[in-house]
Amino acid sequence: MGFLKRLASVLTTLFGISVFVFVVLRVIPGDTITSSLGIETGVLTPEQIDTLRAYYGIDKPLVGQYLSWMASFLSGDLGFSYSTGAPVWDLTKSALLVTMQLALFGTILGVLIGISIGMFSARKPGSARDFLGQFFGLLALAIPGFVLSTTIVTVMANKFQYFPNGYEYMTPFEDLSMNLQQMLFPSLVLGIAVAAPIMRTTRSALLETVDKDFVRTAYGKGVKPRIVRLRHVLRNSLIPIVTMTGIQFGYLLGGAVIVEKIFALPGMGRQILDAINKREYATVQSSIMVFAILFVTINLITDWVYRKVDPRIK
Amino acid sequence: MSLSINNVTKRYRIRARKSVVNALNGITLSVEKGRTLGIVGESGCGKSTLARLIVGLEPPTEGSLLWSGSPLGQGVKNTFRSRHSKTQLVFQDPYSSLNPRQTIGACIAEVLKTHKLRGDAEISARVIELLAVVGIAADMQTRFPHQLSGGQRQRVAIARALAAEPELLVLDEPVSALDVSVRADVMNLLVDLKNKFNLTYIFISHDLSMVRHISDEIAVMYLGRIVEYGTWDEVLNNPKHPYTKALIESIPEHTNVRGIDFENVLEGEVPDPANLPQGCAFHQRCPLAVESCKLKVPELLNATKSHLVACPEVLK
Repeated sequence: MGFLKRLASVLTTLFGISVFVFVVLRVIPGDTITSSLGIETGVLTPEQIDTLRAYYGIDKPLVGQYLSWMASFLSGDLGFSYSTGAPVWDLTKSALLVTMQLALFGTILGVLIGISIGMFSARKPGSARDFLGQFFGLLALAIPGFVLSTTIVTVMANKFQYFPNGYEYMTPFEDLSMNLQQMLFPSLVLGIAVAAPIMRTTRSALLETVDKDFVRTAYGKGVKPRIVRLRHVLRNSLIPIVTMTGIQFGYLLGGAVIVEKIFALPGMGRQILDAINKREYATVQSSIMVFAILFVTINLITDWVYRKVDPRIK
Repeated sequence: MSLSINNVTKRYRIRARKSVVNALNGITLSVEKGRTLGIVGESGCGKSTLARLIVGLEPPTEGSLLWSGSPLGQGVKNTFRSRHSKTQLVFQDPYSSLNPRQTIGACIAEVLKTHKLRGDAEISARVIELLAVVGIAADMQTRFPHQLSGGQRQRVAIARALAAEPELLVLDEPVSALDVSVRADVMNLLVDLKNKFNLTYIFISHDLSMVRHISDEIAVMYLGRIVEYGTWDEVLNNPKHPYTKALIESIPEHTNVRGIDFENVLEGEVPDPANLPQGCAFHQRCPLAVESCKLKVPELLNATKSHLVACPEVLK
């Protein structure tokens, strides 16, 4: 029952997103014709424009356009890109891989950094080490990704002559070592951004748990303090940390546009941005839908992780 | 083999208020092996602080605690494991004192592993044995605490304490969070276990009727000091200190409903332990207080050979 309810709300959300994206794309000025021809559009006769509109399928009523796009999307046909002629699914497949890998690495780094510093801080609230940890958290929160990215690019390329992203992008199947090198810096930038909220969540969740009676029980048993902190305190603080990690992972899937651009990674953010500029309706709509489906799936997985972490949630 | 607590004080510094809370102010006590000492007093008098010091969860600010001659609560790092296995604590609230993400079997097994009391192969058999001792079926060991009743949880907490094979068990209000109907069961279990394993008990409670059932000796605490000490018979049937008298009168009784005649109803509040009054901490609420009570902290004096009272006025 609970699952069916969840599924219904997920489907409603996806429907809402599809309508929203569809409408917003038509509201922004210009269409496929003006963006591909630019000012030359003015030279075209009304007949020629009508022919082009019919060719692109944007002469039909909006509801009809939406329904025909939705129908082909549901049957697995995501349309094709006008500018390259490639099917959207092929573009999305490779872009998705890049973005997913980036988001995954970024999240893993963020969780490692965030939880470590959170634990470091929470050991003694109000102390110098707490101050240090919180200072890092604020710093990571305050430095924009593009500043950190460009700094890394400049320093690594100029001082150390090391800049793997200068070469053509390699998928992990083509050249794993090159791929990992290319992923290193962008993952780090994203990881640091993600670490800040995770660090803060970890710190406050830990501080709430250390005062619980069962922690004193654990010390009373004679369990080593380090083990108490990991097995009893951290384990019981995981719920908010898992929540925050899920949110951040979703954010990384959608928000890595700038980092993808700076480090020349052909990911989803870049693909959608380029498609919007070219008013490639099918590319934008279908990519975003794939994205949205991914996003809600991750939310469902987060829910499932809750259940693993907390045996009381049924 | 005995516990001796020598002039122990415990102060907590509160940074935000820039003040110091005097939780314990010079406690001297001793408990012989196999005896049960009841400690009574109202909330905030330092009972639970004393409990934590006895099991070594915290070191005393001054003074020393010795179990059969070796110190507790000092050298925390080196003797951490062995120290905790000699003295164990059962907490008041079985709802919050068990880790909600740990099955009760894992909770008990953790003690065995930490103190290396059994080889890996024998751990599960020992867990079942310990659960059986407190009357919990073996198939419950995979349950989480929230699947158990309050009485069952407290039994698990007791089994967990016994797992370390302690000689001294500190029971910090072990039944006050339980339903009245299961209190008697747990109390009887505690008495049985004491005889079976030859344990020494320190039974802490604010409920004199519970203390009466189990204690050999009773110590009455007020604001971090012991104001009266003696056998249970002496303290409960022949109380000397005005605070003890008031405490005993406050026990609700179902007989003698009509003849309510409180002689010693206390007025006023307990003073702030961060700002203790001069002299006897009780003088502001004491019906017998005289001028000299405000000047000097009264010492524990013998009323009889085994009965000590910290009030010179009642001994006159």
